[in-house]
Formats: sequence, C-alpha cells, structure tokens
Amino acid sequence: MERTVLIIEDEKLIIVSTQMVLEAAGFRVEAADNGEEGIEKARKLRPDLVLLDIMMPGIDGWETLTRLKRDPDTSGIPVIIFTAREHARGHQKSTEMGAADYFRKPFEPDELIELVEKHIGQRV
Amino acid sequence: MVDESKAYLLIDAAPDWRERLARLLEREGCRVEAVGDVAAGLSSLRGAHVDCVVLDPNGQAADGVRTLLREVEELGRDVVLLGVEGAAAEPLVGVGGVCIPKPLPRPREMLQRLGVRSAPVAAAPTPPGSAVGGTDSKELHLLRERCKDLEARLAEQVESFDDLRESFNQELSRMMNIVSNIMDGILFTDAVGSIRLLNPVAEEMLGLRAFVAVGQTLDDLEESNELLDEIRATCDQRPDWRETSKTVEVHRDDQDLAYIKMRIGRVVDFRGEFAGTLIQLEDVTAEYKTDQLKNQYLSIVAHELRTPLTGIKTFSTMMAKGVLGGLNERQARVVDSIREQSLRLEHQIDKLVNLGHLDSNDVGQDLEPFDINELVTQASVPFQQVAAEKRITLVVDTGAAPGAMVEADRSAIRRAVQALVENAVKFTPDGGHVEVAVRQRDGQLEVAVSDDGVGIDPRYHRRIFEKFFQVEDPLTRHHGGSGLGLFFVKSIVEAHRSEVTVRSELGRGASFSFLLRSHEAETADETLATTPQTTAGTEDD
Repeated sequence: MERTVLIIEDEKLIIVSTQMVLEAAGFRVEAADNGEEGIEKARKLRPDLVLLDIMMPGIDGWETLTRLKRDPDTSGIPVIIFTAREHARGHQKSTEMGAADYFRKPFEPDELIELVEKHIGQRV
Repeated sequence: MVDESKAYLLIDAAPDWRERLARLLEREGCRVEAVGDVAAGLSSLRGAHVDCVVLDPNGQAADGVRTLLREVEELGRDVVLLGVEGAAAEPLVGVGGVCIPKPLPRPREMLQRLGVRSAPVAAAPTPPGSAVGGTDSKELHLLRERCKDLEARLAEQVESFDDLRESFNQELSRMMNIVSNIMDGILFTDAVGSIRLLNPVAEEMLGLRAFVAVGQTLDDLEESNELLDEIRATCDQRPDWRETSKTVEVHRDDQDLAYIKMRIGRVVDFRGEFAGTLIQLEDVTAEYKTDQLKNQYLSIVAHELRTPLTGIKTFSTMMAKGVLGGLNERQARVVDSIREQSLRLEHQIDKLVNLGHLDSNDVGQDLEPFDINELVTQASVPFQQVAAEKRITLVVDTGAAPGAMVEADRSAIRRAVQALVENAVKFTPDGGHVEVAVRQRDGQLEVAVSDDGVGIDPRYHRRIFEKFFQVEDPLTRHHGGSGLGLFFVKSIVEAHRSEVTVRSELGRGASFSFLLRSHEAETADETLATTPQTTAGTEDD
C-alpha cells in the first residue's frame, strides 16, 4: 500500500528536496505552497501524514494546523511541524496544538525518514 | 625658669600684706626680700641684685620714695606700686607704670601683674615651710583654671562639631537628592528587613508611598503587584545568595507591557556582616523591545539562510547515497565535502541565532525526549573534516550508555556540544585526540568533550565562561573566534539546571562535561500526557 505525505510549504526548493528524500524512501509525495491549498488537498487526498511549514504567506502554519485539527475529515492525520525559524517553546507549542512532532530545517535526510516512519499511520 | 629665680624687693609698711605677698612669690620659687620701710629697701637695693621692686608708698617718707624710684630707674629695674593708682601714681612712675590697687587682686592675677609666669604644677617646687592651707587653695585655683581651659576647648569642639554636622547634613541632602533623582528605582531594607529608603522612581514602580512604607518590612505591606511579589519571592527564596538579577514582565494599566530589570544585592558592613538588601529597579522596556526586534531580525536572517542550505544539504546527501546515480571516488569525495561544509555553515547560522538568544529566557525551556548518543554523534559531524585536516582523531564514544534518552532542549544541547567540540578541535595541535563521550553518572547522563591540546591554566577556569573572554596567550591568539562559545555552553547548561565542569591544566589538555537528566519513557508518562502517540511510538521502537 502506497503511503502519501503532503508537504505544505511555500519554498519550492524545500518541496523539491523533501520530495527527493521521501520518494527515495518509497513514499508518494504531494505538495501545496500555501495553507489554504494545503487544507484543501488534505481534505481531498486524505494523506497519511502532513509536513507543515510555519512561515508562509497567507495563513501561517499555526493557523493551518488549527484548521486541520478542527475539521473532523482531517483531524486524524498526523502533522509534523517543519520550520527554519526559532520559535519560543516551539516543540511544546506544536504538541499542545495537536501536532505529532516538531522538526527543524535544515534536516538530516535520514532523520526525516525516521520521523515520518514513526508517525505515519499513527492516526489520531 | 627666669621667672622663678627672679629677685623681688618688697617694701610695705603693713606687715600682713608684706607677709602674704612674700609667701605668694616664694611659692612660685622667687627670691624675695621683704622690708618695712624705704630706707631698709634702699640699702637692700644697693646690697644685692634685685630684678623688681614692689613698693607700697603709703606710709613711707616721700623723699625716701623719690630717691628709691630714681635709683631703680637708673639701675633699669622694674617697679610695681601697690595701693595707688591712676593720678596718684603718675608723679611716682609716670604714665603706664605698673600699679596694683589694694585690696590686692586674686593671687593668679597678682602674680601675672608682678611678672611671674605660672609654672607647671609638677615642676613647681614646694617652698619649705609653706602652709598646708595655702597649697590647697593653690591647687583649687589651678583646678579652676584648668576647668576654664577645658570649658574654652569644649566650646571650640562644639563649634567644630556644629560645622561638621552642617557639612554632613549638606552632604546627606545632596546624596538624597541624587538618590531621589536617579533614573533607577532604589529600595533599601536593613538587616531586619525594614524598609529604610525608597526613592520616587521606586515608589512609582512599586506603587508604594515612602512615608507609609519606610519602617515596615516588605511582608508587612498590604500592596501586591507583579514586581513587588517578585521581589518578595526572590528575597525569601535563597538566604545565601549575594547578588541576583532578573527581568520581570509587568502589565501596565493601558495593557502595555513593561520590563523591569531588578538587581538585588546583599550589603555587608566593614566587618563583613549583613547590613541590608539593596534593590535596584531599572526600566528596560525600550532595550527589551529593541532586543526582541533584533532577535526577530536574526531569526528571519537565519530562516533565509537555512532554506537554501536545506537544499544543498539534502541534495548532497542524496547524491552521496547514490540516489541520483553512482559516483566515482573523486565525485563521492567532493559530494562528501559539500555535505560537511553545509553542516559547518549550519553550525555558524546556529551560532548567529544564538547571539540573539543570549539573554532570552526561552533557552532550555523547549524540552523533549531524545537519544543523546545520536545527538552527540550528529553534532560532531561538522568538525570531522577540520579535524582530519589537522590529523586530529575525533572519536565519539557512545558505547558506555547505549540508547540513553534525555529530556532536554534538543537544539540548545546540540549547539552546546558543537561549541565544545569546535573548541576542542581548535585548541588541539596537529595529530592530537578529541573524544566526545556519553556516560551514566549519579543516575544522570554525563556528556564530556575531552582533548589532549594546549589546556587552560586553572586560574582562568572561571573566567573562560564569561562573555567575550579569551585567554590572552600568544599561542592561542591566532585561533580567533567570538569569545562567546563557552558563554553559550554555560547559559544553555545552566538553563537545564545543571553546570559545566572543567578539568584542565596548561599543556595537559582539557575536559568539559555536564550532566543531563535522563528520560525514563515508561515512568514519566504524565509528562508526555499531551503526546500519547509519541510515547507509544518510542516504546514500540
């Protein structure tokens, strides 16, 4: 069974590189470059996991996370926060808001795969 | 001395006056010849040396007196007339001659007018045959004189004390003026905790009035607000502290936040005994906001740098793994190098961001459980190439505590380990050894970075953790760096309620270590209540 990861991220470069890592590990990867579109795709595609950036134009990652968790259709999908900025108590904040994990860019490809493997399918 | 040995010729028809005066002068050690009439006086004056003639002309023959006075004048001797004054004396001794009226004045004055200076008490010889009563009155007199003397001196002292008090008061009011007008809030409590001083800025900041608060202890006061409560808590907390400082977030009426930096210091007197507590309050709102902007800016810069770096790191890693096709040996070496350099760059960016978080309260707060061995291994990777260039053996020993989990601020600990490894490699000469190890110790996990490099003189062991401090040594100066590395390490480790231990001697390498709380996944379930999936996942692995 093919497992799908949805990346919500505005940086094309990050999408491409993440896609390369995950596809090499056997995942199917979908991408959205903003929060609104990400929520739309999450609802439609029902991915097994979402990788979510924080700093995005339009609605940011925190807001996107809140909406994903509020919608019964998407609330069960594990979300990994994926950020290149320092956020005060970011790890605590994201778990409190219902994210499965918190991850910093630049990432170590093996760590990313490990983390995705760990949370994927762990439906909330 | 001259006075004592002075020779007096005393001529007085009245035997009682004669006797009294003679005794008075003799007691002072003078030689005295006393006679009853001028004729006898004249023969005495011609017969022996006389310095001063004391004459009562009353009852003497007028021409005899004139003859005597002429001879005294010719001889150049002093003359004192008794019992006559003013106009009556003028024809005898001329204007300005010494005249003493009768009854004669008190002995002291008498002696002065006779030209006898008072001799020191101890030195005064007791003339033989002097009456006891006479000595007593003399001593009484001396005492009285002494008292007068003391009185005068006392008056002088009181006057200078008044001057002193005046200038002290001026100084005090000048000081109070300064304290009142100082930009910081000042609060001083004495050894028993009573408020002694509260300047207007502190009144404003604490919502207190000095005329009410002074004399009371902090706990006596009914007022309660964020700052006051924080001061109370800090003062109560640790009786053994010497100085502590903290920035307190204060809500203002207009919903605006203010930041007050409080510095609390124990004041000791010159004997080293506790004299009170000095609390300084500084409004650092402006600095704090600037600082926040700076942090925000650094965070954005870091974000902008990390995004392309993610691409470089990921692509080079994937290439090295052969995901994009096989590489020949040279290509593989180049790709490895790209990857390592990207890790180094990442470390530099982390350091930059760290700059912005120097005084942040957030360090060490974002706790998560993670594998400490994995972290130290990863943290050492960026320095493998630099180490290899110097032929330094950089070893990560994870064998002593395999699979050990800690609960800590992951990215902060990674920065700390990296800073220690970076230093170790930097200060170890070519061909040396650097070892990073994780061990069990006292139920906790110890992370240690050791090298056999130049080492650190023990007298610098404390100072190396200060901001911007670098050991000034011609051998190490060329290493460069910001002087912030160990300061970061210390702040990070202390934020985890732990401390950095340094063992080193000059020329004998150095070892830096710190302890972290280990994380027991099974028992610490309540701390992970918000992330049950994470716990389950960890256990399953």
